[in-house]
Amino acid sequence: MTVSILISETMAGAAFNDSLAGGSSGIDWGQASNGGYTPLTSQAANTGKKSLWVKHDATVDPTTDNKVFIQQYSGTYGGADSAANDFTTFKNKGYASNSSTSNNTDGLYSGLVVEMDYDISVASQFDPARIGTQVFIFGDGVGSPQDGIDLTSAFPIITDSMVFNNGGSPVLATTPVAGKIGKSGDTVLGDNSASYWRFYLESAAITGGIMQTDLVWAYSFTA
Amino acid sequence: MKVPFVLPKYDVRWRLDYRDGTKTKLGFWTREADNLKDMATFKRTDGLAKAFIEVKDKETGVIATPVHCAGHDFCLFKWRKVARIGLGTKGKVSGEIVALVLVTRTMEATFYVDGTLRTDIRTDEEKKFHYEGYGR
Repeated sequence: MTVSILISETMAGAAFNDSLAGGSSGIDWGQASNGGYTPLTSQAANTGKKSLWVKHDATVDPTTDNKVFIQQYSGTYGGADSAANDFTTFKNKGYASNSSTSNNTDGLYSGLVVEMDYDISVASQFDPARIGTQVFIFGDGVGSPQDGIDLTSAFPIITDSMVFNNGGSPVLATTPVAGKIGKSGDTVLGDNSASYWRFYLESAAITGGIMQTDLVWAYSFTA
Repeated sequence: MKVPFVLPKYDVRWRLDYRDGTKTKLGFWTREADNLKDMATFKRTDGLAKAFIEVKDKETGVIATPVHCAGHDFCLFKWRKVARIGLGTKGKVSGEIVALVLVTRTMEATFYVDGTLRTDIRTDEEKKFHYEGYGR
């Protein structure tokens, strides 16, 4: 049976369907300023982020081997350079990121970043001290020459992101397993993966304009 | 331009051979079953002699069986998919198949449609995980 995934901004929400430059649809990350990040609410308070909730419609088994990575944009390109160059830029920004502050006050945080600890305190969200364990930068060189840029180097979804939809209220899964998202109603594995996302722009960035990339979710399911 | 995740050189499907004369069970080429009864996980495993990943070269049509295991060692097959976000995510996203996975009691063998074969030892944590289809 075909197993589809649904990625939304809220636990029970509809799938992302933002209009993107060039005419395709997907997730609009917003606009970042030098030394900041997007989405941004209050940099001083380290607030502002994009939430991604991922669930599936499998009925036999949980999905397994859930991982995420970025690839060259496959929609109708509407950015300022080219899809190929944007992909390179995303990777290079991730590789160059060297910040010690969650809110980028040192201006050295750069690239697309995912926080996979669902119930981490707001002050600690995206803390660079947890890069490689709970926080992951696409294109960085923590686990391999560059991580999160293809199927081989994709980031596994960790247990800290597994949440159960308890009648509309999110509850931490009781015994989550890395990479596995349970069927609807699974309190043990959790039936959702919840993660937070930001795009950071370093202080020294020179070139402006819209950049576009594909976010890719890999998963396995019983045949 | 849509860049493929892996260049599809092969079609893949699962195959179950029985020792008691039961007709061989076959999955669809690079496609999931349309209903539960056609899923590998709902085929019987008593009398199972071997489980295979069958591959067909898209150019030559030649069929080969690069991965197999003994029936008593077989657990299940899994499809591996990738789904792009950023384009056409209106509603649910059914990704594209990139591999078929044969899971045994001790290992997972993944055959990607570009011809890459990857084997992984199942961790102790993984072995504790019970799939519903067989309860093992």
